[in-house]
Amino acid sequence: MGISDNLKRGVTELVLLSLLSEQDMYGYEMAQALRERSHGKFVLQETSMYPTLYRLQDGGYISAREELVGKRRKRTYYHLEPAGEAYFRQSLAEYLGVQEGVRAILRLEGGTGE
Amino acid sequence: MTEAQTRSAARLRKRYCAALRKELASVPQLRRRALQDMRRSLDEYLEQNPAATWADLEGEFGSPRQAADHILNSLDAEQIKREARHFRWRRVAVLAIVGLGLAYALFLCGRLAINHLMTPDYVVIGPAVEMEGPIPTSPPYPEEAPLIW
Repeated sequence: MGISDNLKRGVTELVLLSLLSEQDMYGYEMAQALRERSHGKFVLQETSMYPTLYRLQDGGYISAREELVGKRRKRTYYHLEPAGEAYFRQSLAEYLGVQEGVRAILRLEGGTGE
Repeated sequence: MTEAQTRSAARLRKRYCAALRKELASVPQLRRRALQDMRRSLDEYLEQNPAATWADLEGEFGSPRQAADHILNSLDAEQIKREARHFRWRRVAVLAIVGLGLAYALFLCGRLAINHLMTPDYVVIGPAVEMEGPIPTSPPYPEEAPLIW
């Protein structure tokens, strides 16, 4: 597993919470949105999202509801709960703190890396 | 979507889900949820791309093996422990059922063996005995009793 895979694992929860903080979404829609917003640089396979979504759901941070689309097709929409909003804010602050620390270690503040 | 495309999409979806199901055999609890979500995403994709082929599906979602790997790689420690607990209970249940089946089979074999030893499968016919005297005129059983063959 490369470094990008490990990084993705770490931030999957954060980006999913971020998407859901804007609107309710279903799995396929979330994967597409991530691809579009990152201009193809953050391609998260949809199946990678499932365990994270289930974890958030089991923790009460998000909820799921089914909607019938067309005659037979169903979608599972995920919704950010109030506990999830607080958790998102906390995770974001944690992420920004860590990112700042890593940037300082790598001496990237000036953008030269030296 | 034409009828042929609908049929083709259904076949592709079924094939992909069957392959994914096999790959996720070790995580039965997660498999149920993941397969349901996967089916829905495949439906979304096939609805937007009715002429999609197997290669297109693999391009979008990865091969079933890759998809399963992504799922397993994204599990955290608690989820892994939960799956392991569930798997252990399943194993205990299967072993108990197999054990009960074997015990019953042994019981049946034992009973057959005892029956065979206690009641041999042959009848000893003694020699015919000639009797003397007149032929009896009355039947040897009460007349009112029905004759049952």
